[in-house]
Amino acid sequence: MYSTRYFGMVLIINLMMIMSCQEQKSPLLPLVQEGLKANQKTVTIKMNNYCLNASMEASGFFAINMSMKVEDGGAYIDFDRDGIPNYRDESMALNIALDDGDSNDDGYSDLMIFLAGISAQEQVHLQSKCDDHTADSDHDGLTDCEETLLKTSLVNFDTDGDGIPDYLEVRFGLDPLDAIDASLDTDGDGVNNFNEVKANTPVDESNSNGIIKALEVKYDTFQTSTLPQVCYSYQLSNVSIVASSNFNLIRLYFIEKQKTNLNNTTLKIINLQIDPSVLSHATLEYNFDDY
Amino acid sequence: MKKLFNILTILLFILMYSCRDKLKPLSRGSEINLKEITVEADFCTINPELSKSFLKFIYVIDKSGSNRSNPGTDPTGSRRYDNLIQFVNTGSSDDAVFYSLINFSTESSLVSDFVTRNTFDSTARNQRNLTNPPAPAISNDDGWTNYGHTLDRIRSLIVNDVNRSKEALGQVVSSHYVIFFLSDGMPTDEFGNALTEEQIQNNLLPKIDSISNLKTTTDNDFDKWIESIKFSTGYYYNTTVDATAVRILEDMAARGNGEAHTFADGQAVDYTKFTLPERYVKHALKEVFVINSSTVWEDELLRFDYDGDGISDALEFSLGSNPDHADSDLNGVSDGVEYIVTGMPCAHPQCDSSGANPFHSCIAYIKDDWTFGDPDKYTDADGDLLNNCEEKALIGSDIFKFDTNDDWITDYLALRSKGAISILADPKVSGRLLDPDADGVTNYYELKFHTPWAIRNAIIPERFKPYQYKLTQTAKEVSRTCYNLVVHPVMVYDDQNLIQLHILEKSAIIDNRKFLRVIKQRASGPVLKIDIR
Repeated sequence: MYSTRYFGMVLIINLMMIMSCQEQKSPLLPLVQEGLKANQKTVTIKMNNYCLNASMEASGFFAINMSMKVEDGGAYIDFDRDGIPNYRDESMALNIALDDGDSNDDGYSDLMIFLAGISAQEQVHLQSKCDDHTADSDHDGLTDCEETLLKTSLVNFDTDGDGIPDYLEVRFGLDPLDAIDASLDTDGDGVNNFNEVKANTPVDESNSNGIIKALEVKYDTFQTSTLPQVCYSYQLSNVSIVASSNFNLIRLYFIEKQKTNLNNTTLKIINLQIDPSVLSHATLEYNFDDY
Repeated sequence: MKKLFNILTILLFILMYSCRDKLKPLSRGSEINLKEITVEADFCTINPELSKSFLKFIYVIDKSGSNRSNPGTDPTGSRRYDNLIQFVNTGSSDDAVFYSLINFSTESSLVSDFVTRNTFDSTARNQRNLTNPPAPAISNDDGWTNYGHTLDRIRSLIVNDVNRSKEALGQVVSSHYVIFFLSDGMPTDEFGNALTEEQIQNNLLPKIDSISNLKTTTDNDFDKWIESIKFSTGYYYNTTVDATAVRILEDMAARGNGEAHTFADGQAVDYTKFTLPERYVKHALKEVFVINSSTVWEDELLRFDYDGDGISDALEFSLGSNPDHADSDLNGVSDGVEYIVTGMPCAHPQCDSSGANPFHSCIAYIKDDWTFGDPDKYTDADGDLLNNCEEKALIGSDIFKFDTNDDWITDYLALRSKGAISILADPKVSGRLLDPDADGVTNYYELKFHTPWAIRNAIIPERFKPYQYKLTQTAKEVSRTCYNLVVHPVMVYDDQNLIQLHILEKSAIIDNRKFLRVIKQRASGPVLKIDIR
């Protein structure tokens, strides 16, 4: 009992040291007990002044809190934001760590390894296949190496054209090559898989479970002007903020399509960092022009 | 007179009906008995261990004279064998991985048939160190590079392995064959003459095709026993690269669905450069459906269907088919399929079964390539609850795909929607997302929640309630996920009603195989528990 706790402390202190050396990462927050169900609070996020070029129209919008995952009947903290919450990360069989999105440094994220169930032994054979671990030609959050393994397009962020970007399909356990599965309702709760992704809730657990229901992210769209540009204010309410010792990373996906060629789509991603000490029920306003 | 005849016919039917059914209460299927039960199922995704296949490596290594001559391309054997030994020892060690070795120079020889890691390790060390050589002339690195002879040997190794596996194993366990073909030079014939371009195109490359084509050979079920064949090549050289040799080896790899890599300037052959087939692939749950196949929607009524053929007892009675037998005229095609496809429940006008062919020959719907009495017509190859005759001869669906149009609604469930959801059409236009009764519930949801697709849900009698699903994860393991599914209310007429649970899943993200399980259980009591963990 003692030793487990001790190791946990050492691990966290190590993490602090690692983190403090990396300028990219956010400053550390007071320690909280990671791995348990997140004692989350909710905030409202407003993204104002989202204006479209005259030739484009809005075709999709997703807001995902990367620092948590709703599964197994609740919300769980995900320190390394790899889509596998802390309480699963230390799976020995899969060689997955809680503080590293790519624990074996093979260019394939822990999420891929976990979903595919590729055992630690098989991973040896995966390793040398990825030469450039960071290239992501279509900026959809899946590296080119991962897309090659998945057989998805390196240049199209939504390979199957079902409206859900490839990375989000993988994150939510959907198939980026199956245009049909967005419109299925696997768990039969009346919220189809597309809307489960929007709500940040699992596709294979019914939202009729009250805890999951309470975690659904709600979307409201206000058109604030039509001339000279069409502009929107997007409001997200009931966004969960979890007590991670890392900033909560809220990733916004803005998808637009060309009016004259509906197959010509673009994806803009904005990352919002939210301090877990934010007041519950706060309303946070952002200006699209700042990003 | 005609009227009297009609009445007599009806009386006769009633008489026949009651004679057949002495034991069943006459009130069966009465809505008075309709009740709500709960179906609770515990299940897990299929463990990939169960559908596991073998991984079989075939190393084909150049032992020609140029290797250990002075200056040779690999005088000590370290370029060819050191990484091989390491690769074998760091790779998978379970009992489903096998290694084999073919040496080639002027001829080729099978040094080791498929063996496990430990046995293969010593074989590879012997080859490297030229110790304990099983065939001295070849093991000492001497002679030419006779590719053609070698390719024939690879093919026969696979053919023999499949045949031997079929004899040894009771059930099909498929194999991935991974071939590494390594050489330091151009292909020659057995006299050392380099092959001409014409010989390469007409003789050599077709030999690769004949290896690859084993995967699709249906004779002897080779296609079932072979999961994949990958032919990769490696070229190693010292200082001068032979561009022709590189091109030929690249062509060979391309023909064999493999990769070509070159290793220059004394660089050891790196076997980890070659991608390997994935064997363990976790499954993802895609769909669950619960239906009561003893009930069927006809207009605004959820009616009783004793034989579960998709036509209610009441309708069968008026159509003249047998409500107690799913195939009234015993022609091998169920009344429901015939009724939906042809408009009549039977091929025989009076649904008479007395003259039925003993083979259930599907005779009215026989196809050119089916022979009389062929039993294959009545099996259900894809397990979707529609037999091959129904699928091939009447519906036109694929007998080997439970979901012919890949919309995650099985052929059988789509058929139950009586055309609202197409079995064959492209999923984008299959009608899944249409709402013909304009009640705000699409055909997909009508099927899932067991409501009618042609009548607005608001006006159906209140006693017929939609099903509600609650799916909960109970375990998330490395190789599978487990679930608890509660569906309530499920409307049943009596405890003999047949409840079906359809579980559809897919091997997750890096593979593309679909799986269907259908579990059938009789409703019994207020809660039907199905446990298939």
